[in-house]
Amino acid sequence: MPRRRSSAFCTAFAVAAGLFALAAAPPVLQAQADPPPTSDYRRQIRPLFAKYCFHCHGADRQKGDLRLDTLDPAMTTRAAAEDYAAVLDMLHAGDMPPEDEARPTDAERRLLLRWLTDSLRSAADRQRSERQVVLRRLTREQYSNSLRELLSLPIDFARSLPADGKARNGFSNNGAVLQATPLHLDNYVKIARWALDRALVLDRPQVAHYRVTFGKGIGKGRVAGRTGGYQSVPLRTDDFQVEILENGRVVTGGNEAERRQRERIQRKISVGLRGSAHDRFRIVDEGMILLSALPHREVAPKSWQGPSPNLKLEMQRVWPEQGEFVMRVVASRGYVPPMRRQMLVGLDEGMPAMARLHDGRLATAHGAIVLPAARSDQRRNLRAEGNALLPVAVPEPARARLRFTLPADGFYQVDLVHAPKAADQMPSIRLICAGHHLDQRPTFDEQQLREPAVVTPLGVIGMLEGPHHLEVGGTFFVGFTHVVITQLDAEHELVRRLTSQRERQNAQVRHLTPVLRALIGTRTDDGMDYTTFGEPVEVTAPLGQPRTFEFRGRLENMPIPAPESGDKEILSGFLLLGVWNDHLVKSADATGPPLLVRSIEFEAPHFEQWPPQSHAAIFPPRPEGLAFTSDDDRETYTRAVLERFVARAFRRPARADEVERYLGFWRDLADDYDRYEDAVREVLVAILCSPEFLFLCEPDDELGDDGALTDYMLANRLSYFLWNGPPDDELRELAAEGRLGAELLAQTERLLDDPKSARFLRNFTHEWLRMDRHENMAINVDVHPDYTRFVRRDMQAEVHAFVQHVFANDLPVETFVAADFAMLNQNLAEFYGIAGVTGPQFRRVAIGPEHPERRAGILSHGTFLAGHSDGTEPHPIKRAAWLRARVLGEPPPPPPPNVPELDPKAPGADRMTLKQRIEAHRDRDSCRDCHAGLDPYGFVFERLSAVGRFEPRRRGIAVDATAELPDGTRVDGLEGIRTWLVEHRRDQLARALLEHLFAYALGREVQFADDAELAALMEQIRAAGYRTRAVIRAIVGSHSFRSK
Amino acid sequence: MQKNWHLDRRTFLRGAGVAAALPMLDAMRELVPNEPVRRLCFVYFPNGAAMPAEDDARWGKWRWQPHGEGRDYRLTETLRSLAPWRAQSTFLGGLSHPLSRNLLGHLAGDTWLTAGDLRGDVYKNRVSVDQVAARQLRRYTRYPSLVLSTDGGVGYKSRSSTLSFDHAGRPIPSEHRQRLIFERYFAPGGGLPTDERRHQLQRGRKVVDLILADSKRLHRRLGRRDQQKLAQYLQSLDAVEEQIRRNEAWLDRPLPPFDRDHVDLDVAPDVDPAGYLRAMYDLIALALQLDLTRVVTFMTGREDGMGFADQFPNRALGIKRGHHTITHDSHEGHWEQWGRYDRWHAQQFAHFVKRLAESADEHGSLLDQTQVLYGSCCSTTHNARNLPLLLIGGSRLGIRHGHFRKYDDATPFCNLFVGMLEAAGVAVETFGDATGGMPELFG
Repeated sequence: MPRRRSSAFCTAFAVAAGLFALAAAPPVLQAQADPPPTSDYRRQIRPLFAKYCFHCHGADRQKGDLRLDTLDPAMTTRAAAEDYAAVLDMLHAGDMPPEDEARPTDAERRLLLRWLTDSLRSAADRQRSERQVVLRRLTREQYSNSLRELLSLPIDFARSLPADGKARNGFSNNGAVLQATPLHLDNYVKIARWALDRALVLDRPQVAHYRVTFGKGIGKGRVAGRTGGYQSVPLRTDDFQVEILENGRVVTGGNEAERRQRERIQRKISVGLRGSAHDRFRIVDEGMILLSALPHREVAPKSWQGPSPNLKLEMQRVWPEQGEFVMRVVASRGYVPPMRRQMLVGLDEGMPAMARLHDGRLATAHGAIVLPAARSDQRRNLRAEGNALLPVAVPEPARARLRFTLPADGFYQVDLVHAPKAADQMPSIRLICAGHHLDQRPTFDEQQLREPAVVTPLGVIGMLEGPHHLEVGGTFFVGFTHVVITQLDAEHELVRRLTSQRERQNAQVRHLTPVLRALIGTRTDDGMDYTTFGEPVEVTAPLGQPRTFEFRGRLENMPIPAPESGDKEILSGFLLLGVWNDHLVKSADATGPPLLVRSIEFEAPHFEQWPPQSHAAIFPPRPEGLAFTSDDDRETYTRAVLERFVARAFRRPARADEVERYLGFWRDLADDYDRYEDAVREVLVAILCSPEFLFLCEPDDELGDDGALTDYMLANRLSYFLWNGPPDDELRELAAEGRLGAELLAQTERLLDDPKSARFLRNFTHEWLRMDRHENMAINVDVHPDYTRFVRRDMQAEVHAFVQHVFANDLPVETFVAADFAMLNQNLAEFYGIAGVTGPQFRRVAIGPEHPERRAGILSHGTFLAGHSDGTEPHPIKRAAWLRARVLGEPPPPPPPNVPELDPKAPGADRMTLKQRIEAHRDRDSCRDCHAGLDPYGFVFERLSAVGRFEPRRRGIAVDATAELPDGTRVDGLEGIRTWLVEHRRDQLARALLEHLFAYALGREVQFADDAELAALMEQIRAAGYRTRAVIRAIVGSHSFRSK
Repeated sequence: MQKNWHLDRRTFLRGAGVAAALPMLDAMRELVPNEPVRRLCFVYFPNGAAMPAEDDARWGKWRWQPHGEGRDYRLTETLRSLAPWRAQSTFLGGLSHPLSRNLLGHLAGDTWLTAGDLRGDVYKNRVSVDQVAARQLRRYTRYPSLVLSTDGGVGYKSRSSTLSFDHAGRPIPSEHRQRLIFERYFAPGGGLPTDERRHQLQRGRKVVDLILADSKRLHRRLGRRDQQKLAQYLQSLDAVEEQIRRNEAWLDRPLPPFDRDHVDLDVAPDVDPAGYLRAMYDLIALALQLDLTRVVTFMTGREDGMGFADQFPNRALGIKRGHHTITHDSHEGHWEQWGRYDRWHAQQFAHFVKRLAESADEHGSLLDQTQVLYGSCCSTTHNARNLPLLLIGGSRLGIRHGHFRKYDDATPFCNLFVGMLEAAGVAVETFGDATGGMPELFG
């Protein structure tokens, strides 16, 4: 079986170079566990060194301080290995021998490179021969999970901890790499205090509880806030009301001071829709209609204002800074509001003017708006003559602007009163309104031409009540004396036709379901710093029968305003709490299924019980409270508190002597504190900074025969592997009874079936598949405009949903590269072009052969494909290096230093695809060897674009995704590689997964010395039909896992 | 519009309270009258800089390094913003770390301040020059050094997110959240009165003592390799304890009043990269001015497109590519994209230089007492030679500025560090693989 693990940072390197790394390197490396026989050296290698090197690096001269003839070819010392490594670098780069000296032939060079590479690897492995699991500090996430469960507080405690380093296999839980620097310690002390302050709640805090209800005009005469500012879209205070609640009831009445206090708060609460286009929301009698959100384009400066529309309460410094909060949204399905967009439409042939002239006097319908020409506030190329405005230069464009206010939403006809003109004067009129224009060339009969004035109907506008403006004019303008605006009644034929358009729009989205998505954050100068929280919910409640939807979170986990941003700034300190309609649409024209929001409620801090669970778990309530009858009584209670806390914090039974020590510490300082709990808290801080909490301790003096772990240690290994967190009660009980060893496999299944296993899979998958590359990839939005942050988010979710599905159902390992299903939600399915998936949840979607590009498991995932692009185009070499390192477990060798760039001046380089450019440049001898073993694995992905979308043609040319794999197999595209992997590399896929999981489970690198054990585990995995859980079972049952 | 507003909010150092010389903090310093306070600051940018051929009429404009050499060098468009400090600047050409010359430039990033040997597959770096300085200069200040970056943490080999490495060659995690940095260094104890703060520190010390005792007990029970691992933790405990003692010692000398309301601590780097970098620079300048520390490193981005600094070209200039991708580009006009980004980056740095030039302590301008090294660890795409380097400031420390000095491979980059350390009053025999100092520059 081909062996993996070439040099340290191959993959990282490979991608680093952007991999135009086309210089020489050995072909696919066949390493072995034993050092290469030195006879090879004497027979083949030394003669070459002698021929090409010794005269400068031998007995006589030691250029560059390097002497090769006496350098130990077995590389038993580190120094020897390093010198040979330098030789390898030089050969790679072609720097040595120098150009003016005799140089080895290609074949000779290859031989040298291969010997050097193999020998160096063996040497390195011998130096890393220790297989022991080394003392592991908790990773950031493990620390947070441990504290969370210990204190029963769902807070992310690790936010201020420095990021953990990564081992060369990409995992951050590697004991050798995990540091505990002074910065860590400083933070541990601080976090412990901070956490205990939140867990031990001594005084019941005041609750902030507000409800904001939306509806046209319901806020008239009431107090509420309005927040303007840069690009703000505030809601009028007339259209919402703010209520303050206490114990679930609206507070009213009270004395003057109480009322004033309420009004002070009400003024601090406003409603904003910044980031929302005006045609995507509407306040109506029933509440606020939010059309489906249109994702923001990833272009500054509007890219941090949220999708359009989004509706937020903006609360300025009237909220607590910590605790659980509850958001309740009352919502139902909505409807496309009338006149979603303002419109201007032409008249049907023969439609009469609404205004008339009787004996030169203007007669209009009741309520019509008459705008005399003199009232126009902007004019161009017009002069006044009597009460008329006439063009100065007739052929030039003229323009007059008129303002008007509509009394109600509706359709209105616009008529123009003007002097008639003969056809030879080419009379023309342009009407501009609502962002549209209409031109007409009226003709007048003999009789009309004799009249001093005529009325010409211009068009119909559909607009909302309120102030507007229109313009009349154009070239060869007839001039005018009045514009008349007359409302058309609902039975008017044109009106009926226009109204029915809206009904059609509503009908089109009737079968779709709006989705409620909650957000919380901080208002910034020009947008918001926010996060969504909770799960999105589909709102099926029909119009008129709204339902209440509840979302919860911890304020500490949310990007709420920093404590002292300062009320001095008029626009600072705003907590945003809001929603959008997460049935995302792809274009501004689409309405999607509208959502109707009636009200949004905010309550914080929210307690399920008092005192909260976190407090009671540390200080168990006593019937008599914490009033102690004697010092003994107090000490007995404290001992019990500490014993219980130590046992849970250290994940093993507390030892009597350590409890006494902590108790002694408490006795020493108890008198310094006014409150009993405060002194105990100080002891708890020390416990939370003890290495026994911060590290996974496996002391030598407790180990059994052959280094066997105790049951408690095993419980820790198991839960920090499969839950990324501490053991639960059941594991602890089994350990206490000494039964865990016997029930290990059953417990493994139980842990995997528990939702907490998602923490393991998320963490493992993220690091195994290098999902960070995708997170950080800057995608060119000019080329890929619909690659939004929601697509990016859902691509990441896709990978996690997929991996969790595979493990949950114990599917075989090859599912990772060959699956007839995908895990999709609507947004991502639409992006990929898969029809028939609705709703925000990820679910299993069967994929037929008509979508071969989505049938290759993780190889089909946008996370991999976009993460290994250059942001504009696919990057076959990055993709290839990833496939080899992560999926096949044989990372390619690193590119040599100072890799030559592709020649930018090469003719046509601009227009070639990366694949073509790579092929053109691979023609260099020095590059071919290495790239022949690498590039083909990347070419098979060529039909998947830089954002992971199927792209059979690029730049108008059918994309070539054929490749000849190193074993000579010719494959085409994902179908080809998928088949090849399943048929020829199944065992290798399993082995690669095993090695990654093994390294992760033990928190160390896999070494050559592990080979025998891994081979035995592979037997078990094969026997179990390559099931994924069999891989985990094999590891958990292994000697390495169960012993130190 | 809001950008300006941001800027206005941050002109705090020019504001009345702070621009005036700060009162003497004499007791803790071994001050000699009229002796400058010697400070060191290192600012790094990743992925190298645009270095088109000097003689190319079209692209020479965007060359990071100046044209010509000696006194008569000519700045290109890229670094024009730094022109006002020409008399306090030295450009250095042709320098590199010998052990990194044949490494991929990204990897060399880990060694910028260490000259470590990263060949081979066991990661082993060396102590960084700032930490050598910090070990000696820390006795004057509240904190040994500040280690800052835009990503925080340590990263991993060749994608380091810190410039600083301790005396065992281990990476020192960097800090990047400005609010946390501020709270930790500028307002320790949350602004409590001295008595309470003293009580707090004493409490802290008792807790640390207890943990230390616990840890030693555990240490005895562990296997050999675990003991080595726990030893790191014990060392860290010692360092924390030392810092507590240090804080206690400084307790009676509160920081001089400074105007902190105008420090914008909450600029999101992905929203306003310029604002973010400038806020960090403001914090550094303030830390130097208040003499919190005399040694600062700031890594403004990680190599190879890691971290969000890679998005800066897009966020700040609307160039729809990551910084790393830009450095690999070869299309017509790529020098301009790269150069525009380099220019933008230098403009933020110029903000820092200006801040230092306009701020003063009791000995005069900060800039004249601070050596600031600005540069990267590769030149053009991943070539770890001829590093772009600019030494600015420190005129009162005896530095002969005003030249573009060019070197060849015979002069290791570390010679510059030896010169800088000496100018900073740090006594060292040598550093890294230095063959001497740079007498032509440091006298």
